[in-house]
Amino acid sequence: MAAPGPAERSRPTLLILLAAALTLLTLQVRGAEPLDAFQQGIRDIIGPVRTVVDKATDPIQSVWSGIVNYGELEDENERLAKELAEVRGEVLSEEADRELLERLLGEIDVPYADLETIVARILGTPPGNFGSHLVEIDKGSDDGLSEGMAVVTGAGLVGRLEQVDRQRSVVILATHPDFSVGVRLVESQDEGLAVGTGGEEMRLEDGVRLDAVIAEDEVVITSGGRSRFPADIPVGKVTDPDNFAEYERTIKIELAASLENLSFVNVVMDLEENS
Amino acid sequence: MTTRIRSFVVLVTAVLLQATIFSEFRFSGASVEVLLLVTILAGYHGGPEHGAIFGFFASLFQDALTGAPFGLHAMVYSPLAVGVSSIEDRLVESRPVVYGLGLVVAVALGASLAGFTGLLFGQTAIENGLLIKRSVIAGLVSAAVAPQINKIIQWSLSMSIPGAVELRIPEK
Repeated sequence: MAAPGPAERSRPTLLILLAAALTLLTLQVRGAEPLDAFQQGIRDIIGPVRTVVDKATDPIQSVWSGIVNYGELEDENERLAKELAEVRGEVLSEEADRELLERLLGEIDVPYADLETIVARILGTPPGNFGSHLVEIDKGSDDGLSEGMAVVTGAGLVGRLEQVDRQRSVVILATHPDFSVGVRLVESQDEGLAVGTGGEEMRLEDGVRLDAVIAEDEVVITSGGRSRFPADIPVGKVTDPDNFAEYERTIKIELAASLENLSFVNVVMDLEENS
Repeated sequence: MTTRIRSFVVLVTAVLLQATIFSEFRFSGASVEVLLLVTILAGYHGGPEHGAIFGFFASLFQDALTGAPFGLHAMVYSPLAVGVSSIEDRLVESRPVVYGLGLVVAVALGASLAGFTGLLFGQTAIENGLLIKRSVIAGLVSAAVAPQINKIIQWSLSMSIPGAVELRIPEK
């Protein structure tokens, strides 16, 4: 009988490795904490090296970004020029909207600006090719951050902390399909659950009455309560109120904060007190 | 230095490269899949068993870097290394361009399969079209850096497979 070839000999090894992989996968999906801690340990060991390389290659990265994103930058420049022209014509109505928002927030005693936050710099996309709607920031558990904390900008909600290492954290953006947040419509006072769509907007699905009259451009803020987010953080405004829905209502929300080209964000520190 | 130690050094270097340089420099959002690349090359040069084991450990590091649960990438990397080794066994002669194209296909296939496995386990949130596009770009950029990495993999295995090529070429 001929001796087995390399391919035949490797089959048991491959089966054992696949069984081990499946076991690890099952354990971690079910929430085995030692495996999470081990992964975090690996990232923490690599973290300082990443920081050093990141700083050392920062100028080269800028040049690289300019080269590979030249077309996008041109398009963005053109888009921004058009937007600027539109914005100039809308300054007055924007002022009125802002005053309305401030008045409404004032009516419900919103200390949005008083939230204790820590400023973090956006480092870019986390490693891997499929990290869509995720960004990495330069603050971690050493700075007092923990998973689930809300991430905002001056304009409103950006996302929440998903993975917190010692010196870095990953933020899941509000547009990520796995992101959800309890929200309240400021004028109608209806509350519901807004979820990310994987696109550029959010969708308000559950909770809002079918007969509630909701105006286009109505302001949406976080509802707080049992939510993990502090109350009254601006989320965005309604772009499609779906007022004529007969069975299930889906309201589209345009985010107040621009999630493109973010440079800095604020992580809300006092989660416990505000939730 | 033994093959195991060399392979470990290669693996750690690949992890650091993946976490630093190759994560920062991207084309259309896609970066070099260096851990997948070294797995494929380890399977190609080191045989199916070595490739599968190397791929398993490389995939665990990839899981840690990307925040995916342990084992997710191993479902793809180890079988891919065995598959590449199996194809390599059947190749008698080929030109560099064929190797290059084969590498692009292998990396793109591995990356997309890993992405779809992530979707299956609810770990990835990306549209199918974008996933495939990024996988193909990852395959292309990985193939661009492959010649240098290929030499390192050959060095790491140089003590374990002396004369392996000669065994497959029939004597006249």
